[in-house]
Amino acid sequence: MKRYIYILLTVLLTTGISANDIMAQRMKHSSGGRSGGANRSVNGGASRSSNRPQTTQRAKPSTTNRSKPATHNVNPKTSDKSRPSTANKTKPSTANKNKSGNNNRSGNNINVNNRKTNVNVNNNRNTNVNVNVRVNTRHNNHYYNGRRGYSPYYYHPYRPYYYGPRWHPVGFFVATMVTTAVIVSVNSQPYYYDSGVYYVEASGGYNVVPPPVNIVVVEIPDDKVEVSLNDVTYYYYGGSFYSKEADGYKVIVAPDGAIVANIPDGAEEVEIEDQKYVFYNDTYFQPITQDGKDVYQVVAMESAE
Amino acid sequence: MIKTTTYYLIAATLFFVSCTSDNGKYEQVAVNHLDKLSETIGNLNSCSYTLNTVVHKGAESEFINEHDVYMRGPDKMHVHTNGTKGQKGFWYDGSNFAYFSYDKNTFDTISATGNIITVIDQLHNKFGIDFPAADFFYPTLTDDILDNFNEVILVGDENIDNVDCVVILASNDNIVLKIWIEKDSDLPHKMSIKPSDKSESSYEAVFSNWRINPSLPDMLFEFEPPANSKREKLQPKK
Repeated sequence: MKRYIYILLTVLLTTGISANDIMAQRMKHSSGGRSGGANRSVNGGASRSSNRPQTTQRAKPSTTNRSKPATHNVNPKTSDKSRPSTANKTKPSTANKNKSGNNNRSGNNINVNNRKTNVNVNNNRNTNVNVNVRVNTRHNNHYYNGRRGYSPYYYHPYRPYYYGPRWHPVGFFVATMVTTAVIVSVNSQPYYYDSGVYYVEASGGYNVVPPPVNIVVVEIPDDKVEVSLNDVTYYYYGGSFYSKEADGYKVIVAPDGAIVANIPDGAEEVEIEDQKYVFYNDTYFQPITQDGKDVYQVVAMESAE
Repeated sequence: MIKTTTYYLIAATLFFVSCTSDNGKYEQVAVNHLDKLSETIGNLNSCSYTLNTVVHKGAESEFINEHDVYMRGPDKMHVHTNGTKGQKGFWYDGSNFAYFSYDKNTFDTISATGNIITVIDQLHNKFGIDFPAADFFYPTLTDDILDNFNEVILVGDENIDNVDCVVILASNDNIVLKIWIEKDSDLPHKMSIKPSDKSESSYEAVFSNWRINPSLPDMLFEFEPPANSKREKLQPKK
């Protein structure tokens, strides 16, 4: 039964004083606070209704009591098996922030197996950004969608894109796993996957980790966008790139030169040679403008030494 | 002066024309966190904090403001706001509410009585003045959230700016509200309000510089119009 229908559109007729904070005082409140007599509280003290709706108790985050979600793609692709395993669940990832030397990101190449893949789980929310890098100027000779070199730098502030309530940034902790999650694995490392987010088990719950390169998932959310680069189509969701495979979507290293409109929460701006880049998930995004819109282009970095 | 935009119309419509079902999903652990937050605020005799707010109206407009808020129970409040729409001050000393625009050098004072929340409520209802993140200071915070949303759950833990928080998510068909509560203090650290249609409109507020029960002098809440300033009457909302 609907208990409340708010008809406070009159609040829209606000004075100039309040325009900035129109969303700040949003809920209909049942009282203006108690007058309180000798009560010196800033609001007269908290009050609770005796007629609250029924609540549910949360089950303890015990994996033994929880039915495991369906398992898919437990076996990594054949090509993955030949890669040296670098999985290390306990050690935060600090390597590979410097992108030089590890990536073959030129042209149409979407073969990421020659990259020194690092699927170490980074449980540390604080991203270790190696700013001792510079834009790889050799890429100025490359062509991106027929255009030579990167697009001109055009700064616009990083605004985290909201991918909905089920999306969480790297480092986010959840006490229980949603029942819609599936288990996916690469290099014998299982991950829980739900709505474009990858989790690993941690003490008392699950931590969000970066999408492991080469892992294959059956679906990525409908919000994914197609990114076309040099006649190759990639898929982008939540700051990560995928290639379409026969059995789903494979996480790949961000294709050099790819252009995207949105970067999720959890990224940070870093200043390199007087220009600001957005760093997210081991990738540097250069702010540019395209067709009058603020977008980002993936750029390769090399060591400043 | 009346400022009404299409965005506000849509956003407020989405929020206010929300409803609650008795079949809502409410996690007790989330409700407990909200109760604890409300109780903590209710136990404050005075406080001050800084609130940084960012409002996006679609992809094009952004309003950024910083608010310094001082409260002393039961009936003293001062808010200083600086940001996209200019610099303003609000004072309530228990008998008068004053507004001053630093940019226009204009002010108005209104006779007002009651505790802080009563005055916030009156000013909101009569003049449409919204005080930043005032929802947290209503004594019925938890009940108000339960009334407004179909789902209230504990999402998990998150560390923001080196502050460990629990994250509460409340949602209805139109709005997703997230509240970050500081684990150490049970005070609010951040809130965000986004339409669930994933449009780029949003409201985000981050608390900082919390001071608990500081000694705040009377003069902080008293307003004297500066010389050469002009009175410009606050206009009741229509």
